[in-house]
Amino acid sequence: MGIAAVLVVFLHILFSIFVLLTPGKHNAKSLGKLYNQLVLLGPFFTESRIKTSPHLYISFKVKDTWSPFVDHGLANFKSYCEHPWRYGKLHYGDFERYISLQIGEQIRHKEFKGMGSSRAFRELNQFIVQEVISRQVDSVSLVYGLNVYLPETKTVRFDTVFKYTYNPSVIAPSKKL
Amino acid sequence: MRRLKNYSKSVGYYFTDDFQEPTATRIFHKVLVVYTLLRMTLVWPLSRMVMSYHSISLPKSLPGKLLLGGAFLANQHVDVFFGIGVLLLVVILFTNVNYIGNLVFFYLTFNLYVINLPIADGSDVVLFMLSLWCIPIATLPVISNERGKVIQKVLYNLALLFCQIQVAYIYFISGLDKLMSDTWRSGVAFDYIRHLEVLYNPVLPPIFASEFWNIIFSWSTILFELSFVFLVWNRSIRLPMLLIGCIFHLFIWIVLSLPDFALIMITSYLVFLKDSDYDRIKSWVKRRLPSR
Repeated sequence: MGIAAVLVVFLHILFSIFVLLTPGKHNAKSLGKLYNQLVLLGPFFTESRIKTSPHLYISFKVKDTWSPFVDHGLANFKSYCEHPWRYGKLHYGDFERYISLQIGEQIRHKEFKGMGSSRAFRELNQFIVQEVISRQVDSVSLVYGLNVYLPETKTVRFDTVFKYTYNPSVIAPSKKL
Repeated sequence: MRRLKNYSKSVGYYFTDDFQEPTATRIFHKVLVVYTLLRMTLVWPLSRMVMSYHSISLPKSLPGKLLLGGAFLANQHVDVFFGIGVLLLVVILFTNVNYIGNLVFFYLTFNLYVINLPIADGSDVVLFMLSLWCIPIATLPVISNERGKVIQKVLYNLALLFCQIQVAYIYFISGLDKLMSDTWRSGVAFDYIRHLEVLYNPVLPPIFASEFWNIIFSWSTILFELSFVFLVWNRSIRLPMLLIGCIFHLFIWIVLSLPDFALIMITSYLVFLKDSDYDRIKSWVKRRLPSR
């Protein structure tokens, strides 16, 4: 029984090394893929993760006046940093960035079928109107993109992923509250 | 060949001899439950907000529905899931470690990960993987027949080792990725990090402004992550390694605002502690307490 246990550990390590040395060569439902996703966790700070930061800027119109574009997720993050006991503020922007990323991916893969038809967009719209703006507005303008830092010039470039200006009342809610 | 067989046999005794480090393992398990309880309580209001707008796509197969029953429940009644979850965690915390409790614990952490996917980070997946390996880490119910007892011990010790390997892999993979990356080797990575507005703590003074220090930080990170997997098993370097790891994660917590990841990694270090470490702490405390 003890030797069998040693063998299990040996196979576990051997298979992990094999998966580590053959990345991207495992089918979606194979044991290799499962190991890749669950056993060999990480890396968490990859180059792509540290080179760009996502931002969603929101502006809204009330009585012909547009508000300035604000990144509410970032504002909440800064609020957490100043008051670290406000844990909720830390993850507040995560949801809107997660949904925005999904919309961006749909656009990239040409799967985005319009603002009203996309479940992700309806979720984002409902979240913004009810949670972020929390008031009756005529129009909403969204700009989502990535800040890319360029170390050579010490400048930051903004790459727009999507930009929409629309009437939020014509977008059906994603969930009934 | 005979020597290899004898060696395997002697190593094999590690698995069959007894439950390894029972006190240290029990403490690791309980602290992991406390961490989950804290995490669940803190994300509850956030999850309520997220679930007001977001629907989880769930599998249609029966095994999938069973495995993600908690997520199905949270899709409609998020407060009911969190209420039951917190209650179950309290029960697991105050009862002896057993298989049923461990299964429920894994079920909760896995569903918590699925529910919180929009706001999840690396800590959630580390948590549910540790809780998965923790399933066989139980001494209850006591098995009466000899063969069953041996199987119970082997599974317990294997699971304990798999928890340790899981943690070591995290560092090794991260270290390897950084070593392969020119951005990390040159120290520029920290210059990038300084400009990550949604991660880098703006309250702090600019600590990654010097190229020289960025290279030092980069190589310290790479060396720590790559050496952890080898040195954490060494009797004399194990504790200093874990101490360095704690400082490393506290630094990341403050600079990169990642409290969840820092806490789960520091919690995971408890799996490397031995019963003798706790005995040393106990006698150290006793020596310092005034004698009656």
